[in-house]
Amino acid sequence: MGIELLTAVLLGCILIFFALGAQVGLALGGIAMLIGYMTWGDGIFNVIPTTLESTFFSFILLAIPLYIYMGQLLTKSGIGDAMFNFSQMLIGKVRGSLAISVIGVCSMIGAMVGIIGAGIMTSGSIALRPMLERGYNKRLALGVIMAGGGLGILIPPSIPMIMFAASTQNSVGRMFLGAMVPALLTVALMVIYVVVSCKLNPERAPLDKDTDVPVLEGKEKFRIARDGLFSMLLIVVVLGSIITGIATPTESGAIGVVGAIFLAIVFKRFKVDMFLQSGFQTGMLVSVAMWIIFGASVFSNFHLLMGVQSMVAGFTNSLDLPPIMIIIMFQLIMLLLGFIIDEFIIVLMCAPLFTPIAVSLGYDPIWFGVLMIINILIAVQTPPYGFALFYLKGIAPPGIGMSEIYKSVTPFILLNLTVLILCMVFPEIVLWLPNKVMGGM
Amino acid sequence: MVISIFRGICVGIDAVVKACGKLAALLMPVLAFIVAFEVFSRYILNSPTIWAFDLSLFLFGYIAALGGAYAQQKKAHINVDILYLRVSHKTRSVFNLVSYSLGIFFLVLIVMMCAGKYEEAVEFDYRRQSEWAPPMYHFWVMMCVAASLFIAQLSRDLLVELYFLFTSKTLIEERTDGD
Repeated sequence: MGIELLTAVLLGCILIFFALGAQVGLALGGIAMLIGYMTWGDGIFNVIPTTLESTFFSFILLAIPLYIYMGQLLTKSGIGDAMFNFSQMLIGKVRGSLAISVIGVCSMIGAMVGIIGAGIMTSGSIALRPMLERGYNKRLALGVIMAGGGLGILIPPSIPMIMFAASTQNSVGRMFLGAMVPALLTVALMVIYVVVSCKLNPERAPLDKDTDVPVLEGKEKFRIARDGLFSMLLIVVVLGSIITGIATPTESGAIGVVGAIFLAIVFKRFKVDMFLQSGFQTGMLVSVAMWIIFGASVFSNFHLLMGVQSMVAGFTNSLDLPPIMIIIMFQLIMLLLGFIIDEFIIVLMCAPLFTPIAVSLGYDPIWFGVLMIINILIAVQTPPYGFALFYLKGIAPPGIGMSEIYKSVTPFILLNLTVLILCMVFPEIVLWLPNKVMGGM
Repeated sequence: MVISIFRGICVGIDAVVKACGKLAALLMPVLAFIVAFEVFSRYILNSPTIWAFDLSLFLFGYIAALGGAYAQQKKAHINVDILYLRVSHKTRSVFNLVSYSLGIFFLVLIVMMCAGKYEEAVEFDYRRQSEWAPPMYHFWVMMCVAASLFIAQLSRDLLVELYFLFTSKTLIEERTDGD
């Protein structure tokens, strides 16, 4: 079977099994091995142990459980709420302050949780009710939660970025630094949007003098400030230890876990039950992530072994397009994929396939990786089928239809798109910081 | 009679899978402390360990692989549910029959290949290529166990779906308790 036909058959099988609602990891691995057996024979099964060794003995991927664990500990111990309260204490007098706090805090929470779905669920559970109670426009409220929670994958530490780095042999630290400026830019644009939009339509974010800024006792104020500041300090320490090279990204994940436990104990938020539940929840999420990574890696190792790399390279060459058009084409493909599958699988399937081509065209792999992450961020919240929309629907109050959800996310998608185009046109936005801190490649 | 045997099998598999999944998750804090200890040892005690690296990778593998079956029990594995949630219960059962069968096929291959690697590892005394050089065989045993548990859980779910397709009744009340 030629590689073109094989690829078509594989993609056809994937579509069928995904439509049937099969578990993604098992389905990808199963399809690859079944088709591989029929075309190649049982020698292909050797892909299984080699992939097992390369995925489970990857020190980079070991960062995943540690970051998930840190996120679970922080959110379950209520430190997320603490950050939210702190932010409200600081900017509560500004119109639309709740929405701004949500963007700031939810993107932090999203960053700690590191997965879009979990980011939106966590952010929604903390921040949606206070906004609706205060009479915020529903569209604005839902939009900022999606925007903030989804941003988590662009703000380091981010799990899809770790996956990108692992599957293309790039430095996680460089990847994290590369995403930093685009992430800050996105947050800034979103905050500006909220402020301007609330100025123009004051009824979208009522300023309620009595409830917006509750009068706080000095002691209470101190507690909120302390909790909020220390939580942010923890994130700074985690990122700082990576950037300064004191610890590898994996090790700084572990420092984050110990720090989160320490904070919880110091702030008297530590409970044995909370500790156990965080562990169980983490174990579950890690299993889910690793079985997908394993299955998808079996699939892509098999596909690479069959020569898909040269097929894609040959195809892009034969198109005879200018390099930037090929990059745009890759972006469009990933955007379309994002409508049906989630961020892990896009990274795992596209990164090893597209990145070498982008590099051979003379582009920086880190730049391409950051574009990929922004792209995925857009794809998963784009109507009608971006899967993050369904998470948002899941936490939305009853009576909010899908069309309302679509309208709520549109302005923020446009902002993300702006950042994507800016990064594409001005690669320095991505590359400046990593080159500055870690030196040129 | 047959039905109560079926139910017994389901309850038994559920219990074993749940116990293994929870035990594996208990390793999570241990893993975090080992990696953190390595940093502590390197900077504060000035003596990097030789064992933390391999030990943390082994623990990672154990947590990730052994939890797979439990995640299936909790229906936590990610799937694309655009169509899946819109079809009738019966159709969904047929869908599950197909996808669980593919999953079991893949998992059986994992058990076979890992059993082969185990024999190799014992015969040639394969070890991790590091200073500490811990043996590898237990990792392959663990993978066989993890994949077998996953197969058991999927078979149990397959049984429930088949029973529903033939009788239109649910074999066992799916518990939806939080943990």
